[in-house]
Amino acid sequence: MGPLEFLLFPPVAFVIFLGVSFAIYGLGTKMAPKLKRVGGKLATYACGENIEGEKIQFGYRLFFFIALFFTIMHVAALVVATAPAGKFAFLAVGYLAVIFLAVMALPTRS
Amino acid sequence: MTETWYLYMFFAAALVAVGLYALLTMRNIIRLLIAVGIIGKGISLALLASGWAQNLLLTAQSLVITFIVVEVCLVAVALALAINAYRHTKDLDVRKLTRLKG
Amino acid sequence: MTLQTLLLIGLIVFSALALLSRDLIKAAISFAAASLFLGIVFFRMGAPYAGVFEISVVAGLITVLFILAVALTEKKAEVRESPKARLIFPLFFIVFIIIDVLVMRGLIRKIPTLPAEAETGLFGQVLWGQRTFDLVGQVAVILAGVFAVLALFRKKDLDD
Repeated sequence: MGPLEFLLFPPVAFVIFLGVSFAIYGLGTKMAPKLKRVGGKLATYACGENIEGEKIQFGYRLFFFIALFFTIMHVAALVVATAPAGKFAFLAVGYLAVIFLAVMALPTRS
Repeated sequence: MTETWYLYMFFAAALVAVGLYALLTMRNIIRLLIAVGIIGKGISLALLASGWAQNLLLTAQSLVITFIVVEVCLVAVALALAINAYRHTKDLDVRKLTRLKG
Repeated sequence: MTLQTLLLIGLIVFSALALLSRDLIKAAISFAAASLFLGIVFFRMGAPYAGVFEISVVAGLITVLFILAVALTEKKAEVRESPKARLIFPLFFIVFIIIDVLVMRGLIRKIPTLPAEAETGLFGQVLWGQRTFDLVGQVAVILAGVFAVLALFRKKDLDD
C-alpha cells in the first residue's frame, strides 16, 4: 500500500477530515474575541440586550421532513452510484423515478 | 478460515445479546431504538462474515446494503412515532404508553 | 487478525456505552462510533461497499436522525432507567460471553451450507444483475417509509 493509497483508504480519510474540521473549528475559536459573560450575552437573542423571551413553537414537522428528504436522497445517491454501465442503466433510471415519486410526495402532501 | 469466521460470529452473537438485553430492561423509547440498531449491526456482521467464509462476498455485500436501507426507513418511521407519542403523553417512557383508550 | 479483534472489541464497547450512558446525545454519538468501528471491520474484510454504507448511512444519517429526535423531545422527558438494569448488565454480559465461548465453536460446524455458484464480475453487476428484486424491495420500503411519516405528521396536528 503506497502512501497515497493509505491516505485515500476511506477510514483514514474519515479521520483526516474529522481532524481538518476540528482544526477549522479550533481556528475559528482562536480568531474570535474572548467571550465575556455579561448580561444577556448568552441568551438566544444576541447584542447583549435583555429582552423578555417568548416561547416559540419549534417547527419540528418541517425539520423532520427535511431530514427525511436528505436521508432518502443520500441513500439513493449511494445505491445508484454502484450501478454498472450498460444495460442496467435503465434499472437505475427506474430506481431514481420511484425515489422521485417518494421525494415529491413530501412537499405536496405535507 | 473457520477461525476467523468463528471470531466474527462470536462478536455478532455478543452484539445481538447486548441489544436484546437493552430491549428487555430499558424504558426510554429512543434508547430502545438504539438497541434495535445494535441488533441490526450484529445481523449485518453475521451476514457479511458468512458471505466471506463461503467466498460469496459480493452477494453478502448487496444483502447488507439492502438491510441498511431498510434500517434507515425503520429508524425514520420509528422516531416519527416516538416524537408523536412524546407530544401526546409528554413522556418517552414506554411503560406509560399503555394508557390508551379502547 | 489482531487489529480485527481489537476493532470488534471496540465495537462491543461502544455499543454497550450507547446503551448504558445516561445522556441520550452521548448515546447517539457512541452508536455512531460503534458504526465507525464496524465499517472499518467491513473494509478490512474486503467489502468496501458495505463499509461505505455502514459509515456514511448508519454513522452519519441515522445518528443525525437520533440527535434530531432527542432535540425535538425536551430535556425534562428524561426517563429514569431502573438502576438494576445497569448493575446486572456486566454480570449478564460475562455469563453470555462464557456461554458464547462454549457453544459457538460447536454451532458453527453445524451450519449447513447451500450450494452456490462462484460469483464473477464486479459488485455492481451482482447487485443490479443478480439481486435486482432487492432493489425493488428497497424502493418499496422507502416509499412506505415516506408515506408512513406523512401519515404520522398530518397537517391537522398543527391546530392542537
